[in-house]
Amino acid sequence: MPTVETYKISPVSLEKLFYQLLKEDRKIYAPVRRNDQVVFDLVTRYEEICTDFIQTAASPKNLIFPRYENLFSYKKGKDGVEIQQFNPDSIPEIVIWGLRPCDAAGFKVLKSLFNWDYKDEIFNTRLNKTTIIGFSCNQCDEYCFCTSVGGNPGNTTGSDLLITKAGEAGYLVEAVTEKGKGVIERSDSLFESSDNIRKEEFLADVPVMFTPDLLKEKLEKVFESEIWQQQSIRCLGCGACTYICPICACFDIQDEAHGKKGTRIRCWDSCGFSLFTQHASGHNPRMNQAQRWRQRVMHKYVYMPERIHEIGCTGCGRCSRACPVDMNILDHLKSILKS
Amino acid sequence: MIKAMKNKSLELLTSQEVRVVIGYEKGTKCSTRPSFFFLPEDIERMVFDEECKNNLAVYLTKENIKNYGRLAIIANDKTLQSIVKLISENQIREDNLFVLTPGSEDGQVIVLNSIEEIKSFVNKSIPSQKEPDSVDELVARIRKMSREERWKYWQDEFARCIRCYACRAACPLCYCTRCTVESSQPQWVPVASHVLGNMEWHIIRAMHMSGRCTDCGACAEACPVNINLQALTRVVRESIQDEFNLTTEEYLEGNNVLSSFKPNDNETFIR
Repeated sequence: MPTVETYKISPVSLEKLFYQLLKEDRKIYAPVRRNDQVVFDLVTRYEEICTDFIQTAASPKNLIFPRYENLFSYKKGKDGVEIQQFNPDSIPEIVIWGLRPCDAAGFKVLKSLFNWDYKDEIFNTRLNKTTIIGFSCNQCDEYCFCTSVGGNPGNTTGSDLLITKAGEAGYLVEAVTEKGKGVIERSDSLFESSDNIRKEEFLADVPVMFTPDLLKEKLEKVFESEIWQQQSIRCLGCGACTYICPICACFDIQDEAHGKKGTRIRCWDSCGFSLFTQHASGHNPRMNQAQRWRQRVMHKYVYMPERIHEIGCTGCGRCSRACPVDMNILDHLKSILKS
Repeated sequence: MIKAMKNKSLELLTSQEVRVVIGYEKGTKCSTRPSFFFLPEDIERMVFDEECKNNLAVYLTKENIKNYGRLAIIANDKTLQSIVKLISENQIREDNLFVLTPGSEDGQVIVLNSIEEIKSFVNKSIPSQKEPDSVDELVARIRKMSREERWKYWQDEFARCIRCYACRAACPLCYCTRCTVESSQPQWVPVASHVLGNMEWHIIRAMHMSGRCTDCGACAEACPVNINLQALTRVVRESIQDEFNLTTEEYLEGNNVLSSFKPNDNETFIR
């Protein structure tokens, strides 16, 4: 682990840093207000960026793991099949600006997932070409629980630069990775020495509800419990929770064929759908919503820690906020722990 | 009223007339959420007020809920209309169902236990004129657009769709156990959430819902990316009622225009 370097930057210089990155021919995605929501979108003016929000509606995972992407295209000809692979050079350099530490930490989990056995070149290229500039949280709500799943409102994990608003006068900047240090080197006149800013004083207070180990231990004992049925009875079986999650990364492979040409596409899929596990024979090993809900929880807090040594949840609370029937994951986890 | 609602629910559970009451409980923040009450002591956590917006009729066609047999449901106006529609489509056995709904008098709760009771109550309780809301304003704006502008508007809206199918899952009338969008042989609708796939999905859904959709707004409420789906459902319902000259009563009680055939149809192409 390289050591974290700390600096201070004034509000005026922070704006200059934004335009400096734009000048370097990078596309910048940042939280903006659209359709009564705060979402990540392409930004070209600093004043468009929204800073007063708890969490964006959807996570920025689609910037590195898009909703759908072409893996290759093919053409059948007289001499056989001609395959045109996706060209990773076509992926642009981007900056994700203003994401929360729980989202930045999510990218680290995704990286482990996409390099678990097979090294996914498209994913890795996208991530390598992305500069992640996180902003610490100075506010939270009752859906947030990052501190119970190994994170915190000032967590540097996953960010190249982490910026913490330290009062009105300026921001604390932590250069976490070589990529982050590169950003500072290229604009070093904007940064000052950090004068021992005490970061903790400026962070939201997110109460710790449980530890990931305690949760995992408990979950391993309740696989056959009635609780899954009780909790999931109101679940409608849509995929909203998984699609807006910073970590859920299950996908489907589809061929879109047009005559003798076609494209192989990777697109998001969700364990909430009944079709997700349905076999060609018609048999479905996860035949009801209780089993699907159990899988979602188990995958995040038991299977992923076992397989890739990462918790499959960063406590961002989005799934609870977005659920049409208020399946509040924090409430459900707490009641599992109490059961 | 909540007191009367709780008392009726308790009565039905203790007398074992129903196995479960589908109602609402307090949710996160100030919201309420759907809840299932199996035991008399569960009734304590029941709530019912203007915040109870979920259309609970969505649960009535689910296999695991139907398996409970006799059940009671707390119904707001939207839920009531969906129930009438579900009955008209033979999806509910009314002798299995108790509908609990607020009456016109303060604090009054009405229990409806037959198709006739439910229908006549709904027909009486639907206001003939309603105040225009924000959806009507949006519809008026869309109607003023040219064909091309309108197409562009919906393309932009549906470009945001992530195909989580929350709209379908929250809809009481989307009860098919196998949806056409999931057919793989042949595959009618692309699975990927590109504009083409999304447009096809939403157009197919709107067509399939026409004459059936009660415009309850559950799809729009459920959408995690705030697509204005109710602008579509409002037009679908209004167009069908206008074009086929149906009263609200006629609209709700069947007359599923896209799936019914009449030998004396005005249109010659169909005969």
